[in-house]
Amino acid sequence: MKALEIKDLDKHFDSFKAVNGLNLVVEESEIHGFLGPNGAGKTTTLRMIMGLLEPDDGDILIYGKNNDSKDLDVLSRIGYMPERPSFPVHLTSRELLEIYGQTYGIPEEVREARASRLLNKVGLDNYADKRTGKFSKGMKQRLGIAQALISEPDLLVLDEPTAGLDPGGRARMRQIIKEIGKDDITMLISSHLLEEVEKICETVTMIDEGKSVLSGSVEELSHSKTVLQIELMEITSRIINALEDLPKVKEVIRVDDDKEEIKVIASDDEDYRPVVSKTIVDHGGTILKMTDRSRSLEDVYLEVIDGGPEDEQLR
Amino acid sequence: MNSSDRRDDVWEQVKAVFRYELLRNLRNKNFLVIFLIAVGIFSLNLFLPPILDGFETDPNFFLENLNPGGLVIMILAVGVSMKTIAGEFESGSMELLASKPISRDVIYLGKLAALFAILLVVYIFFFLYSLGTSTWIYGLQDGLSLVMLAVPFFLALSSMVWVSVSLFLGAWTKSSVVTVLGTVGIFIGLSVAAGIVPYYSPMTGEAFNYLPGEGESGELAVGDEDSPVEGIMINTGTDHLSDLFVTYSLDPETNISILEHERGCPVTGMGGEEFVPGDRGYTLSSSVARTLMMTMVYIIGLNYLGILLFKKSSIMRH
Repeated sequence: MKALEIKDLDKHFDSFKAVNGLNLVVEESEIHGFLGPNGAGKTTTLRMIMGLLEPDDGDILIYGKNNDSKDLDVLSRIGYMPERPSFPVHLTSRELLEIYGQTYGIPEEVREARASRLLNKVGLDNYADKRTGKFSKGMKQRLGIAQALISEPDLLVLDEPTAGLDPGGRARMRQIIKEIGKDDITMLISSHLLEEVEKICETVTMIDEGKSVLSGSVEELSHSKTVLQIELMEITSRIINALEDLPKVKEVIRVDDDKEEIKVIASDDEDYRPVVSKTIVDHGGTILKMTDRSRSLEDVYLEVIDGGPEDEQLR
Repeated sequence: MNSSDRRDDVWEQVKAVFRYELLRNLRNKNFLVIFLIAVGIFSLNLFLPPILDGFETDPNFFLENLNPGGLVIMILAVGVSMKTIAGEFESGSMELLASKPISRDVIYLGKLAALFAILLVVYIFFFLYSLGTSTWIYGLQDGLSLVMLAVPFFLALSSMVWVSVSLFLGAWTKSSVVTVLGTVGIFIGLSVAAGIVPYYSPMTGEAFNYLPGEGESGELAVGDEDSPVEGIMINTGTDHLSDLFVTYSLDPETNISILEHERGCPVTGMGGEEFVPGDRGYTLSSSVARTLMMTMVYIIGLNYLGILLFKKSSIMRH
């Protein structure tokens, strides 16, 4: 069953089109990454899912029910953590969880027990009676997760859960999300941190300029192609052109303007090292180092987002 | 979910927002500062006359000073409500509250109920403080009756007019600075206009009874020595619902004579020797009814508009 389905969603602010015909499907029990560069329309989309913003056009179906008019029954099935969650500074984390729980109509004894359990789960049990105004950014992010789980939602929507955290904080947040994922919950996680999504998510949708440009499983996207990373003495346009002309070579990307390093992406998982080496040498190049590795989500992202929008539907 | 479950849920949600707003407000240092300023101004009303004029017994002092004055009523209202809507938009905390399965009407009304409760408690304190200090400084007070227990309630209603102005501006602009400046500006503007305009155009004085604030100034039961409220000075605007109600309950048949400048121009809220009761006046009953009606019109009307604006708001960071 589809937990979330977005069809042809549009939203503009004055002349700026923030979301432009977006389509997205999240199946039940799936952990789905929502990837895109800053300003791609991810947060705007999530706010429309939560009924915080009105879409200009399109449909948002949550478990088959439309949420464009902020259906309270639909919202009661979703837990939401905004990017940089902000809390009233004078309330304690326990009070907040209990108050948020009360808005779902959860009985007092249940919400008290659940608040304690969640604070323990996110490592805030020692700060349960401290006011949130004294919390660090990482603690606020963890409290953000806890409040999103207070209703034991069917669908959890997280907007940039690791944004702004130090490496330790990111690892801790990743661990929390993975633990939540064991509970068979459906999750939509928005992020621009590719490594994070690759480690957590099973499926992804990439968006750019408000449009979905690619969707599929992380496994499919990452391993359907070969990536050769090659360090050369000097990169010339002759070598690049020759490599691009090879059959089954899908793309040749210069990794960095300051480095003599390229990525050659082939359209299947055969061993292309001999033919690529020969082509480089035949065209006057000198190979310093060549690594053959499976394609990461970052490679896919760079192809699709930085290499220009490309409609590729893998499922 | 059946309708009974839904009703139970809505009631739970109102209680949740009520608690949220109560804690958010009462633990805020700004609230304490505003409260102390209001107590300070009210204390000046109570202590300055005996300090200046000497300590003489005055059995009517409490009755004549039931109302802490328009400035205190407005300051308390703005103090509790300036961040209620606008502040939550500014800090971003509205995003979490509005993402819960709770309607915007319930959020708004739950907050409004909490503000009323806070003001009610503050005015109960003011009432007891005023009664205690009046008895201490001026001796045993006359005219005490059970009906006076309603004073804090009516003072809270008067403050709710300014709370409503503040919430409306907050829902409209989502800026607490604009909310404060707008509400204080309206209060000052109306107070100044009520003092100046009728001086030049006597017939316009009555219009101020239909606007938030002090209204017109008058004297009760002029020349009727049998009336328990004889000679008491009173205002007729929304800020003075409490004293109008109490004096009406003490003498329902009495009249208010609107003060006029000695040259013949009616004035409002100014007092002073040059102002004397004039020919124009109202029955106290009609004045109470009009002020109560205008208070409710402003509370209901402004909050209705505030809810409409709040419901249409996009929840984004500002």
